[in-house]
Amino acid sequence: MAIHFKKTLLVLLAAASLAGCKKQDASVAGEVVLNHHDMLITQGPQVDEEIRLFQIANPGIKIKKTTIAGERYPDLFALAQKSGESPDTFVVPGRPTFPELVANGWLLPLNGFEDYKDFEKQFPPNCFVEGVNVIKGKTYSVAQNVNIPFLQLWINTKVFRDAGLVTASGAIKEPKTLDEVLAFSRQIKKSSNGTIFGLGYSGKHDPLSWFFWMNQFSGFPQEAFGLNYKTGKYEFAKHESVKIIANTLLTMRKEGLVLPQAASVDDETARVLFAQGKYGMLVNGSWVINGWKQTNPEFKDYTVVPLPLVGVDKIKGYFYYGPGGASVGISPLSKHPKEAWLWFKWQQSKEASLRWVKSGNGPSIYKEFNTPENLNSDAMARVVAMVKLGRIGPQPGIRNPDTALVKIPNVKPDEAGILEGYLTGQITDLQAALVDLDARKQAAFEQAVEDAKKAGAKVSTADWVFSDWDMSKDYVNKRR
Amino acid sequence: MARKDPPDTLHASHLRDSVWGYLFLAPMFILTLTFVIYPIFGSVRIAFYNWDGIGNPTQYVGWRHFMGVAKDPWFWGALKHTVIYAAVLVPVQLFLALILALLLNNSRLKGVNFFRALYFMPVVTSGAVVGVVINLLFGNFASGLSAPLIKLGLISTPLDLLGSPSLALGCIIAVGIWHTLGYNLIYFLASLQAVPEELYEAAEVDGASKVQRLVHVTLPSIRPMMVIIVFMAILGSLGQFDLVKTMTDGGPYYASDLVSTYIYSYAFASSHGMSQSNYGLASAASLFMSLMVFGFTMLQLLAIKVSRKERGVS
Repeated sequence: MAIHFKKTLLVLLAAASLAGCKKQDASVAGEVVLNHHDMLITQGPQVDEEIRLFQIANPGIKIKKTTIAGERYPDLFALAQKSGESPDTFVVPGRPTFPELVANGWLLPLNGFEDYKDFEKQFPPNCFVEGVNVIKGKTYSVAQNVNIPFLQLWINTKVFRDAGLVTASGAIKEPKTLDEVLAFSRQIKKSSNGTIFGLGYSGKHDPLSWFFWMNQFSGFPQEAFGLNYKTGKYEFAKHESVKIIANTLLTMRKEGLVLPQAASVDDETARVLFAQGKYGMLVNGSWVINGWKQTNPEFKDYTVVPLPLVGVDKIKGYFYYGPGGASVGISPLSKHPKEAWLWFKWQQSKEASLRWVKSGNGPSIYKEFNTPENLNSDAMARVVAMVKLGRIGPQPGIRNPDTALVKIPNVKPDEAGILEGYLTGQITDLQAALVDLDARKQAAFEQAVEDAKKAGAKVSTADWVFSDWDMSKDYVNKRR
Repeated sequence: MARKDPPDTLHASHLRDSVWGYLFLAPMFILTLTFVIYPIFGSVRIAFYNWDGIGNPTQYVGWRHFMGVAKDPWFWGALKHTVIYAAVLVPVQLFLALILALLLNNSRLKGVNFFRALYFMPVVTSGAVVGVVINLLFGNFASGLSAPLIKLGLISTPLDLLGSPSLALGCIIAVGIWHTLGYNLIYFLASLQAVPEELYEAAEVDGASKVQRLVHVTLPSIRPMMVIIVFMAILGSLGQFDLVKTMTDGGPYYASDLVSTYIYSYAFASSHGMSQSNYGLASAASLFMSLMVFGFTMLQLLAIKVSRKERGVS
């Protein structure tokens, strides 16, 4: 009896395990389910709306969206690919590089679809670029949005008015330089008896981009993060703007002008605190508008200006981006490529793009849609106007695709660490720390190039030198 | 007269009993092999390569990553913080857990089950969730507390508990003590309930005071379990990650960086700049850590063996 019981138990356990292991298919008969992954939080409602409209127009296809928040999206995307569990469609991650995504076989070429030529024709010029979203003549993705500096300085107009930061005509005083940010922060603190701070940001999500863009706007000819593209050297220590920014932030911190928890709060919390009037200026991107619609629907007292200049009073550099661009991709592993292509085209359609603009999610790649009546908000119109602050910058990947094989490792402490250490008083000699940082980053870069060469890549550090780069103009990237 | 089984039948019976034991051990054994043993050996190979986690490792670099870790002051700094974390958390937490367990072991105390559930509740909450919530609490707490303290002239700048190099690690330790206190409380409770009541009665008859009963009856009786609890607490604290990651990410300026967050920072690329994941260096650092944990595990086994010997258990 006992043995019978044990056998029965074993059979039941095995059956239960097998049942648990069986992949569940939620689709009803004849319905195709497409898995779609993205990392869009504030834009989520508009993606959901597009899914709803797509499903109405295509009754046999269901889109199952998974949103992975935060900076780990590329890692989780890579894990999904390696485990053979790729979603059918996905937002293309920022890492690894686009050529690597293609080389790993994670993206389906679009040219094979019958109506691809018609699809390509709808886009403005320069949207398909070899080495960016076209690899060896095959197209894998295309951009959805026009390139603008994606971080700006947001102003709480009520805080500014309460602090008397208005012109004679009653308009809000807009800070154009870091010195003005400092002066306005002092004014805010003084007039609020120390209860309201001047500046806030999310140190947890993006401690650095704005720091480097302020450098770029002020004339530091670096790629986004420290490598001077004119010389091919890391030159944090050489540029005065780096030290001015660090010292100004230190002064602001010492005087209690920066939101105390700025270094550790996340993007969402920083936005809510700003809307609550806890501080006057927020470094963030245009997605805040829809973020506030969700968290603080009554909050309308804001406007936006470009990131401030440092040590100069006229712009000397721009926000540099690559030509082409990518947004959504299709997996070669998809069992429903035709349906995935329909969903892909839907997202890239002019109609969807117009809805994207009208719902306040940012400017479209189709410039004709970026009009005041579509943008629906003065702040968004201001953001779109910042398109003039962007330029195409040098792209080593276009010049030599093998540069994608150079794996430059993290260094410790990195630039974020040094800035943090300086602001907390753990570093006292900033210049020495920056010289050391340049040396370590340069050594890591050169070592990475050597390692790639040994592994067969045809690269040299010269691939990162663009001595003919005029920072005021779009750079014409050519294949070497 | 009792029937005596022949040796073969006896052996078969033992085997039949053992089969069930092995069968029930198998799932955990397979999981441990797959998710603990295999990754450790897998990371040995990776440690000799530059690898960003995508594709196959092809850039062989020899012992460079091991040398890099051994010479890196930030690794030793992270190790120092890890040791401080364990050295402070374990004794404080175990002391508190023991005191609470002694109180909750009193059957005359009303609402015992409520208090047990209350103290155990943080354990069932994910460390990551606790970290995020505490981060918000500390932020709001600090901003609420700062204004009166500044007015009183006690501080000159607003408080930032997790942003302060001298306070960040202490805050994490405090939260760590609270978060996993329930585990050890339950272990202590279980071992206290296993102490035979007769021992207390005999001690009482002998005129032993409450303190004497604690020192001469309770503590010696639960000592074998205490050895296990101590080592489990040490090993648990050496592997701390989620609280630090969510509360400070090892900052400010690595002031609360533990070995686990050090490894993470290399394994997963910074979202800024051109730098990329370096699983090779992260693997080399994790091997150093594995050796340390292995050493403690061996010590634990040795301690258990000694303890069993003292009790005459084979």
